[in-house]
Amino acid sequence: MNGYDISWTSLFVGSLILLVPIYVFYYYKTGLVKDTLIAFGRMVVQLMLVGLYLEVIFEIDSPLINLAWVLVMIVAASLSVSKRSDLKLKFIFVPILAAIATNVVINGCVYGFAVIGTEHIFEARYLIPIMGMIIGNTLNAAIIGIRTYFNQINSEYEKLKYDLLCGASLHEALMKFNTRAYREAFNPVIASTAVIGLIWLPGMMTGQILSGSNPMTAIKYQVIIIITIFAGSVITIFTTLALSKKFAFNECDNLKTEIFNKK
Amino acid sequence: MFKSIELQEVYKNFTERELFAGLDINFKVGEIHGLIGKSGSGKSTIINMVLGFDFPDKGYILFDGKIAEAQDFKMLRACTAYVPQNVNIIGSGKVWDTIQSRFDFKTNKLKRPNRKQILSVIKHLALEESILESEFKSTSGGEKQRIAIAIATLLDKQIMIFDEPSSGLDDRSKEIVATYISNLRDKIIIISTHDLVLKGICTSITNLEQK
Repeated sequence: MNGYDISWTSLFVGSLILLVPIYVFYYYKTGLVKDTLIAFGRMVVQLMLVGLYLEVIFEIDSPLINLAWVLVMIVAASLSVSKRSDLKLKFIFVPILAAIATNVVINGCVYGFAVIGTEHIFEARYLIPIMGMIIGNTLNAAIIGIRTYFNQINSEYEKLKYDLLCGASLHEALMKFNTRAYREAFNPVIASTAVIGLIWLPGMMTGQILSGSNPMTAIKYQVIIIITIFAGSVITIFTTLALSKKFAFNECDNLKTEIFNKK
Repeated sequence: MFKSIELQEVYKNFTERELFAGLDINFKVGEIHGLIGKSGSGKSTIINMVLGFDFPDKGYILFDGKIAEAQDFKMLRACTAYVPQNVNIIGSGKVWDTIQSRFDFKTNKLKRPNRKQILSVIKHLALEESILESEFKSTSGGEKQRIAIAIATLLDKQIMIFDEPSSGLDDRSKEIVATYISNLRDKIIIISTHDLVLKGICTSITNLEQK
């Protein structure tokens, strides 16, 4: 069963819907028009290049090249999260890189040992799209979690100092900031997860069904993808925050103010 | 047990302004040491340096005659009860919860006070029992200040630091707080203030306006 292919003309005509948000942004002087055009232009060019590149990678299908591609995705994702974290790259990049890598390794094991099987996990058709979905969908929650955590610590530093002076260990004093970071990052995810299938159908599943897959197969993949993305997001934030303690606080447990980007 | 905290030949600039040039202070057990000076004279900077939240540009901080290192500052903090200048940050929820939350930390768990002990302390600070059921946010500035002092007392530490404890207090509350602090024994007590009543209970004074 094969899905209906989209012609380039149809894709172009369909994309004209983008003129609506651009006009709205322009009319209300949001300053978002240029960023929107650049973002969507980049998205199209990047996807096309990836499409061409993936065709080659899928053709070769070497586990080493596939893993190298995943590594590129991890580095690119780490740079993206680091840049949007309001923190200086040199302090936060390594914890985020380690956190996303941890997420990939743990979820890689889940797919390798429990879902797809070790004989298939390194195949390009599984490894690259699955890891792409997991890494890509982890970014938003990770950015919200990390930003909330550090911005709150910075703005409520006097409270943190007071806790330290009341006998709290740094771990204890940071507990409430962890709590808030997880709440901010995951409340929206939990809310949207609860209505999947009722209000909206996820993109991956829809894509699979449109391209001709059996709906139940598409749903099974979608369920495990959503679960692993969620677990991966928590793993990424947990690892980043745990590792960043060493970078963000000095040996006297004082916050290093130089980690923040000047606003 | 800390017997003395010393600032020796301390130099400190703050936003390109010279705050201290060769400052010497010795805080000793049994003394109530007043840091006297106007706002911006460096009182809070000295407290921050003692607690390891800030460091001298030049000079030394010594604990019991030994130059303090990172671990020593952490140890000193563990032996310190601190009353901050901005007492609004110390609590949320009911006053009872604000007090009890300080004893959720591992090091304080064994010191968790019962109602009788809390009542005894707050009575000495002229606070009513009913305040324990009030929302911390709805209490007055003077009450918040005295709640912060009650917490510091209940934590039962060997060093007590009061950063502008008279801010937001009326004359009667100032007298209550001054009497209360002057009755504390066998501790290193540091008070940063520009208030005359509190200045009166200090057994040694560093006047930062003359530095």
